Amino acid sequence: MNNYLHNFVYYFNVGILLFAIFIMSSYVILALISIRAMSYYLKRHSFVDYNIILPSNLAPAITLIAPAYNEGKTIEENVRSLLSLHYNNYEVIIVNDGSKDNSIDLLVKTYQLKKVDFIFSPAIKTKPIKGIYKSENPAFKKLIVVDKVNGGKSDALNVGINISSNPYIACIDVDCVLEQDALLKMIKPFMEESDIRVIASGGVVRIANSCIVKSGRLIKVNIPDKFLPRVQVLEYIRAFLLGRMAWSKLDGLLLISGAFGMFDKEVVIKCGGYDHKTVGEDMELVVRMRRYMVEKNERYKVTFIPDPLCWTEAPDNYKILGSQRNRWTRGTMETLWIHRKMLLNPKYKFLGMISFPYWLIFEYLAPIIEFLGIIISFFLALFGLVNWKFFLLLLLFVYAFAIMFSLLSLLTEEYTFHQYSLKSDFAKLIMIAILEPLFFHPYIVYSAIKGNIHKARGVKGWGVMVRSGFDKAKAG
Amino acid sequence: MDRISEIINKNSDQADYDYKLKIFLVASIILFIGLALLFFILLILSRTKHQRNDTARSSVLLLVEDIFNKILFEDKSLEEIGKQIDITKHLKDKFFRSVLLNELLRLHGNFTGVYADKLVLFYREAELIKDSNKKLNSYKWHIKCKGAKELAQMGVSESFNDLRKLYINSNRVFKEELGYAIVRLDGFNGLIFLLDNSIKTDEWQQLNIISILNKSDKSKLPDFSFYLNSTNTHLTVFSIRLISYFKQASSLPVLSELLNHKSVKVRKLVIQAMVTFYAEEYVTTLLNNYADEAYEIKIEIIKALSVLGNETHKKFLLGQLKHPEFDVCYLSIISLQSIMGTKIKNLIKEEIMLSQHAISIINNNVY
Repeated sequence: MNNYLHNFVYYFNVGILLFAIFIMSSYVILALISIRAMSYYLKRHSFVDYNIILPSNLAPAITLIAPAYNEGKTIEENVRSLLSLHYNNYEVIIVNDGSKDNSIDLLVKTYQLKKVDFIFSPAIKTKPIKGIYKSENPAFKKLIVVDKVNGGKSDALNVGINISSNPYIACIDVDCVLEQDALLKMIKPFMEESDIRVIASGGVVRIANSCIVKSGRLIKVNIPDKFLPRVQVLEYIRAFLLGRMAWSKLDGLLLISGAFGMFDKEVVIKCGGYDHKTVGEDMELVVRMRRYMVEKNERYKVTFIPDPLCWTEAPDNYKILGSQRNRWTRGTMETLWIHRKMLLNPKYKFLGMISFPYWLIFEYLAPIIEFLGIIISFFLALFGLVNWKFFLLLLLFVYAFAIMFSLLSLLTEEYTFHQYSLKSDFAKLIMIAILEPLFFHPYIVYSAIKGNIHKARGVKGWGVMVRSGFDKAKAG
Repeated sequence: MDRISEIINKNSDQADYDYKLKIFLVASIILFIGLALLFFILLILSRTKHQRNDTARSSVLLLVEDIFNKILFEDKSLEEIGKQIDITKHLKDKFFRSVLLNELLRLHGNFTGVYADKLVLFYREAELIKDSNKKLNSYKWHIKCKGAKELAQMGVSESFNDLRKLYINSNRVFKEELGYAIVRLDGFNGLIFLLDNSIKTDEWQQLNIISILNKSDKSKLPDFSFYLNSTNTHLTVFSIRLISYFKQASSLPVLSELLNHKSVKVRKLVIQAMVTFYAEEYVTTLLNNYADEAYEIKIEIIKALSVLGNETHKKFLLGQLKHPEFDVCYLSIISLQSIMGTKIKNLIKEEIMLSQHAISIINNNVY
């Protein structure tokens, strides 16, 4: 019996160590690819003059679709921000998804909207529409507001896709603040490829808590005052700059953030639009579009722009953060399950052989493995079977790597986009890099496990997602 | 005895393994901490450098703004400014020149006419042209691109031949930027230099070039139909765009031949060009091709009828209301109304079979 236990402890140790080495190596490899790709991107775009095509009416037409649910606090300002982007040829569709507040009344009043007869192709099945509004004021001619029966974010986006009259759609969260040239930068990859069809493009999402926003425009970038949003600044820098950039370079990007992404409308419609049955609709759509293109044997590309184009408010308390991460876990599980056919399927090439397994092991299974590791270690400690010296060394090994990797991401940010200009900003972020593995990461693992349990129990829906708005910013 | 030796060996293997593992972990921890410290130091250095540059730039900018105020609004020449400010000394400073040039380019982008000319004159007098040329000859491709862009922006026509020579053997990105520079400097003549059969311009480049050409002297407009029959589809597409944009209606007969081109994109652009030119005479050809066309082109033909169609096309459009696709029905209704100038309900006779989409559009009266 003792021998069995001894062997178990031995293999457990080796397994944990190998998993840690494997995951760390993959992070380092991805980071190196990202840094190289970003360096090229920055050189390539250091002399690009976006203003040349700004006034051109030949630029491809884009529809910005922003679903809104109970956004009355900030909706007027947010819409104004969307209407003032630097692009000549675009329309904005705000889909009021059955809000219980006064969002629609506010929009009608502020933008002088009038209900209009409007015909559109019901290419994607959605919940009924109560009314479509357009402004009587020519200054707001780009704006279309749709009032519909509540059906969730995916359903609202699908309504926007149906109504859109343009070949490209940019789906965003209405409370996000976009950089003025976001559309110009996002459309470029679609126009640059003449032999390969670009089906989707994603941009970097940054944390806007404590930033100064005035009239829907980001005026000053600040490090959030609170601990949780501050950690998420670091987390987003790491994920977007050192992760997604590499996946894009490798043509294995599976996720474009729901906060801001641009798509080829024709392909989206052919794929059936957003799936309203999943809570991870952003990832699911990208995977389904990619799968569609592979199955149709068409050459395609999903691109990624490392410029900070979209600023969003991050959860600032544990309850909302937990709810968000719980949903992300369920969304990942649902997407991986729906498209399980792709797993290790050579037909899907890099996507099926590398991207998909990576997401399964490192994004979905990692928190579970980590949690199991903690439970087993606890029991081993209870029976006095823990080699404490080895255990502490292993902990220190992982902790040192986490800090080193976070500092690498901060260094990358410093050399590239340099958004946090104050000396104190970086001192705060370095402190966060030290604290994150101890006070933030365990909660993320806990939320992911909760997501698994909720999924097993059949819990659906988005959970709590309250935003406090850019109140401080407005004051500024 | 064997059992005991097996246990001893096993224990000794285990100890060896534990030792190696500990060494590996300790070495890795030292490596990670070392790297973390290195990144930390680099962060501090970079931050300090950034701040030092920002401070220096702010102080230089004050002087630079003063100089440009004098040039633009007080009509002072470089020589006159030199009497008030020791500009010769400043111009020897690399950092000052770099800030000066960047500010000059920024201002030049915002001004036109006399003000822009004053800035160009200053660019030449201060010999900032040398800085741009130095960039053009850099070994780094992105610096070369900046050099080419600066020379073109400031209209340095004497660099035109250098740019043309560089264009022959350059990488894709540099070639793209050189292309813009050549067109900016030499307008439509520069464009002709670019339009060889191997050209592979994407939509971004085409739009950029068209936007640059829009500011050129249009009296020198070449005949773009010459490139329509190229075997290179990129060139054909670009030519159609140029013909449409610069309204070369005389190219219509050659354009119409492309209605049978293998590329859907080309056929689509040709129909759009015909709409631009109100080329009613080609409607019959379009309708003759309709049955065998791709869905995308069918849609384009129906759309074109809203502008080019007349009463004789009513029957054709009513026939499309049987189509199962929403867009075909909807656009046919729009075109019908546009041609007949009356609501669709007045045009529909009972014997016409309508698709579900057409019925829904007409009954909801929302078109």
